[in-house]
Order: sequence, then C-alpha cells, then structure tokens
Amino acid sequence: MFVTMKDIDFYYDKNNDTILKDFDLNIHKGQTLSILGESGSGKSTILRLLAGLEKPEKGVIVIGNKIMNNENTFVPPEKREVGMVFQDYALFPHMTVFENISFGINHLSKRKRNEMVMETLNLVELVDHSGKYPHQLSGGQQQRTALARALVTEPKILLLDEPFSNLDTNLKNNIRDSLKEIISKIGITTIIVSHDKLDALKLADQLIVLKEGKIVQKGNPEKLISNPESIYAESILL
Amino acid sequence: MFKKIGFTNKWSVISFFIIVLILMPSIFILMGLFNPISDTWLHIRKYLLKDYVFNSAILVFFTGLFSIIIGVSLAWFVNAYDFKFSNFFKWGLILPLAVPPYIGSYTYVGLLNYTGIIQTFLRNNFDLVLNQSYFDIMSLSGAVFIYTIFLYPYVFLITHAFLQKQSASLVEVSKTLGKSPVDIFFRIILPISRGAYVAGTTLVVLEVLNDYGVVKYFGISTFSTSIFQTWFSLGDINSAIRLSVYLMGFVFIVLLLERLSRGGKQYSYSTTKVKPLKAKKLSGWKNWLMFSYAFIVLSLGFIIPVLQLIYWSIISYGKIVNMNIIKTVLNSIGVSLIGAFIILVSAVVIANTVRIKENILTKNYARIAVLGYSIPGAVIAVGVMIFFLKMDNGIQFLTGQNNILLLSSSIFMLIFAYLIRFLAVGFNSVESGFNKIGTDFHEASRTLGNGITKTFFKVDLPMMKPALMSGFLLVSIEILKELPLTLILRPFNFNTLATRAFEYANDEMIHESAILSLILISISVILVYSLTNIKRKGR
Repeated sequence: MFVTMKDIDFYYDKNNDTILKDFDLNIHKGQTLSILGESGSGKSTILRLLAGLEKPEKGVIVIGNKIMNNENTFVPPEKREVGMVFQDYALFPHMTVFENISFGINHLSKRKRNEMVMETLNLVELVDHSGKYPHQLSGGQQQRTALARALVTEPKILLLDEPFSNLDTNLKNNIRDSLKEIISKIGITTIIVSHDKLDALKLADQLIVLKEGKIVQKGNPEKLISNPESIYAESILL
Repeated sequence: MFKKIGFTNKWSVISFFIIVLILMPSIFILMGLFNPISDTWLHIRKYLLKDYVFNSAILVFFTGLFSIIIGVSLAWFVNAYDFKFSNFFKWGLILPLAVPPYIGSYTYVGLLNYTGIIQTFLRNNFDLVLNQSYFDIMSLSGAVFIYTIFLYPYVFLITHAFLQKQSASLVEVSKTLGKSPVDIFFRIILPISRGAYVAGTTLVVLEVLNDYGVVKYFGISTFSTSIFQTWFSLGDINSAIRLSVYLMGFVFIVLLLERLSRGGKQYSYSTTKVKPLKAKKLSGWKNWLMFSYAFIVLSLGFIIPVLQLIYWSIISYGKIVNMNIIKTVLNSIGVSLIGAFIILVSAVVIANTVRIKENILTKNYARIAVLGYSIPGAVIAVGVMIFFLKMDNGIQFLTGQNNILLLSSSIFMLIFAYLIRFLAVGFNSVESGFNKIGTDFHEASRTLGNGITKTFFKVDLPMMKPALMSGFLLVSIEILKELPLTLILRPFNFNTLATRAFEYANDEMIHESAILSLILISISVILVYSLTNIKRKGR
C-alpha cells in the first residue's frame, strides 16, 4: 500500500464526540480516491491528518513507506511531501501567480525554479497569467494556481479538499475534466474530499462513503452508485 | 474549529519565557502580603482607606456614566445623521484621546483661575468679579469633568465601530412601526450596543483608576496617589503593596461588573445579509443643533485646551526652547518606539503560539497577556521595582559587589513595565490580525515545506502589516502619554515629555509645561491620524 492509515483515533475536543475511531484506510500508488460524506462526517479531517495539520490521538499513518505518525513519531507538515489544495485555495494575496507557485521550491536554484514553475504553468495553462495577483484571476484560474502550487513540489500524494465548491456549475464541469487530465498525466496518488457524487464518478477510481468517522461502503464509484447498501449511502450517492 | 497540532517549538518556549517574566511582579506583590503589618498600614486602614475607596468610587461611577452619555450619543449621531462636518467628526471626536488628562487638568485650571483668560475677559470687559468657588475645578466634580471630556472617546470609538456594522433594517422596521427617533435610540440602539459601550466604559474606568496626574494635581486622595505617597514619602513598601492589592480588588469588581453587564444578553442577526445604515441628511436647526453638540464636545476636549497651550507656548517659548527640550523629545520618541517594538514582538510571539498550539496552557497565555492593561500603573511599578531589586540582589550575590544596582537603575526596568502594562494593546491588534487572515494560508505554506518561522516571515507577516502597524501606533501613543510608571521607574535624570510637563505643572510653572505638552499632543495627533488612516484603508 502507498498510503496507510491504521487504527486512527481523533477528536477535536475531549468532551465532544470523537471524529474518527479505529479508522483504517489503504490506497494504492497512482490511485485516485474520492471520499464522500455529509458535513461533519470526518472527510476533511482525514486529509488534515494525512497532511500533518492535525495529530491523531493514536494510530499509524504511512505515506510511501515512510512512517508519518505512530506512538513515537510525528512528522510535521513541512516535511511530509504532501500537496494540498484547500477549499478556498489559500492563495497568498501578496504574491503573484508565479510567486505563489514557486513558494514551495524556494530552496532550489533560480534557474531550476523558473524551469519547474514554467513547466507547471504550462500544465495548468496559466502561462499568460503568471504576473497576476490572485484577486485578478477568475475562480477557475485561482483553482488551477492552487493546484499548480501543490504539484510543483512534486509531492508524494495530492490532497484536494472540496476542490469545486467555490465554482459555479458550468465552470465546474470544465475544470473537473481538466483536473482529471492533469492528474492522469502525472499519475499522482490523489485523495479528493467532496460532497458531490459527480466528482467521484468523473475523477476517482475508488470511492468511500463516510458516516460519523466510519467507512460505510467502498469500491468502484460506478458500482457503488448503482448499488448503495444503506439508506445513508443512498442519500449520499443518489 | 480545528484543533491545532501540538509539539514544542522555539515559539512556545519563548512565549513561556515571556509569560513567566510578566507574571513575576504580580507574584512578588502577592508574596508581599505575607510581610508583617506596619503601623502605617494600621493608620491607613483605620483613617484613610475609606476616603480612597469613596473618592475612587465617585470618580469611576460618574466618569463612567457621563462617558456613556456623551460617547454613545455622539457615536449614534455621526452614524445615523448627515450634518455639517459629520464626516470630520467621525474621526475628529477621537482627538481628545491625544490629550493626556493630566495635561488637560492643568490647562483647565489655568483657563479658569483668577488670572486665566475667562475671568480676565469678564473683569476687563464687563467688570464682573465672580465668586472664585464657581471656577474651582480642583475638586472631585472637576476631576470627573476632566476624565469625562478626555476619555469619552474610548466609548465613542468602540460604539461607533459597532454601530457601523449594524443593520439599517432594525431602524427601518422601527420607523414603519411608528417609532420616533428618540424611541429608536432608547429602545433599539441603546440595548443592542450595550456590549460595545460597556467595553468602552471599562477602558475609561481602568484609565481613571490608573491615573495619577490629575488626582495628584487636584489634591484628591485615591489609591494611586496613596501608593505613591506611602512608598516615597513614608518609605513603607509593604503598605504600598497592601494598597496595591486593595486597588486590584477594586479593578476586579469593575471587571466583574463588566462581565455581568455584558454577559446577560447577546444579540445576533437572524439573517446573514446586513445592509448598513444610511445616514439621514439633516437641515435647518436640527443640522445646527447636531453640529453644535459635537463641536462643543470637541472644543472642550481638544480645541480649547490646545489653543490655550499654544497661547502659553507663544508667550514663553524663548525661555524654554533649548537643547534639553530636544533631548526630552528624543527620549520620549525613543522610549515609545523601542517599547512599542518590544511589545509588538512579544505580542506576535505569544499570539502566534496561541494560534498554532492551542491547548489549556496557551489559552492562559492569552489571558495573562491582556491582564496587565487592567493593572494600574502604580501597582505595576511596585511589582516591577521589587522584582528588579530582587534580581539586582541576585547579581550582587553572584558578583560579590554589594553596591551595584545594574537592572533597577536602567531603562530596561521601565521598558519591562511598559511591556506588562501595554502588552494587551499590542496583543489585541496582533490577535485580530491573525484572526482576519485565518489559518489556511499558514497551513498551505506548511504543506509546501516551510516551517513555522519561515511561514511566519514569508506568509503571515506580509499579510498582517496593517494590524501590526495599528498595534505599533496604539502602543506608541500609550507609552508617549504614560505618566505613573515613567515617573517611578525611569532612570535617574531621564525625562520624557510626559514627566517633564507634569513636573513643571506640579511646580506651578504652567507656561513652561505648555510647549512640552503641545509637542506631546502633536505627536499623538499624528499617530492617531495615521491610525485612523490605516483602519480606513483596511476597510
């Protein structure tokens, strides 16, 4: 397995409900996994745990043979080599598109950096917008900038948290197609959190349905959608 | 709300160190309670304490009440009505904050006394010689007037900011239900803005309890003056400590009352769409009435005292302007900038730790950081002095030299006291800056391979510039005007505009005091104006 989460317990506040309990998740290399579930089911928490933005109470997290979390280890987010696209993109408003994208590879030589940024800009088709600031971009362009910023560091996995929630329906379909194309071009292991079954259907080759921190159904998206096993799964998938 | 990842880092270690440091003086004050009771204390407790309590209570109650009346009414008028110069008054009415109350007090005494401009004018033009008691401002009621007219802007500022965010629909629906403007003010505006004006009034009350200059000049016994007197005139530090504890008890009651009067009811909108109130254009006598009210308040709180100071400065500048003034100005600016810088750095370190590492310990950091603003200057001075003397004792013990006072005679002691007293001001600005940018940018940077420190300098800091600038200016203004701490803790022969102006005035050298006061007020006005500009741009 390329990504493993095992026996994960997590809560935000000891006195409140547990978000994840004995949670397990396994993902193959190059696979695109979509996590569907209603608000508060723990979808985003899974991404934040993988990124190292949260620390589980117990359990093991492994990404690409490297232990990120267990009883004795906690690798901070900056050392995990994980690319994440935030729901609101979190583009640095004081930096241009170019500066945003090169931010994660500042340690490289200028020549190498420029080369990599240009390559990524080409990939997301934003070469003409590299000098613009985030507020000068459309919603779709902002999303592609955030994606480019995450990909340029050549992460082991790509995490997308509700990547289409800020886009209107027409734009969403186009962006979804181009995202699929980019992901399959570079073959990166990807996890997408969404509450829209179409995202899963179009982008993922594995789907899990999450309810109160537990996986209630998993498998091929098309099969799952045609055969929900519970009323909850049906409400999410149909 | 996300729980933040927790692990020890440089930020949390430095924060812990700062928090422990700023707690030390309070700990020493509490420890001082276990020292034996002196005869002085028995005398104070038996004969004087009730005067301190009575005077402080009168000053606090009436200043608070009048500040609410003036601050809330003006805040409502400039928000709800468009009258002559109302846009100017939106920031102009903050200007009295640039005049420290002790400077205001001796300016008014000079204005109103027998040789002052008012009585001279009445005598020369109308041959009127009035009973001097009519003009006696050096009393409890006079002090209430001085505090109110120079401190009401705290209430005005917070209530104005609150009302700007309120919905027009509340007022519009009241109108459709047949309510008059007076009804709307008392039944809608006053209740919804209670939290805001209570917060503003608390600041006013804390300033009154902190003040030393006005009550000393007017000869009114309060906790602040008694702490000074017990310590410096009677040389009884233990009694000064006990008085400090009593004063803190007083402050505690004030804060408790604030919580009770704010916590009872909380209002929130049932809709997310809030259409701001549009000011109603006034004409005719209503326009002039509104203008006159705002203008009279601004005149009393700023224009009249400043004109008087300008007049005194003109007739005395030849005697006063010399190298010493320049040195005093540089001292004031220097100590304000250095103090504000250290306070902002400390505030940033603590606020960033609180935000990144959210747990019970760091939540208390935030509470401790803002505690100092409610501790009056005289109390902080007592605690800091004891703490620094103890450290000097330690240095003497280590070096074997008995006659050195390395820390307690240095500027560090004063800067450290400023840190305790004004950290809250810096911390609140920094915290609101962090809240505004949220955690997503920080987290995005972390997932892109940057640590906490690099993320702070590359991402957080550039985005927080306006908040940091506001904090820096606010703290600079506070330090520039600060009197009791500076009077007690400054190194030998070190003068600031505030201490020099106060000393001249206290020695009845009012003309000499005027130029220094005027310079202090001018610098404060520039800083206040820059602050409102930053806030306007920020919006």
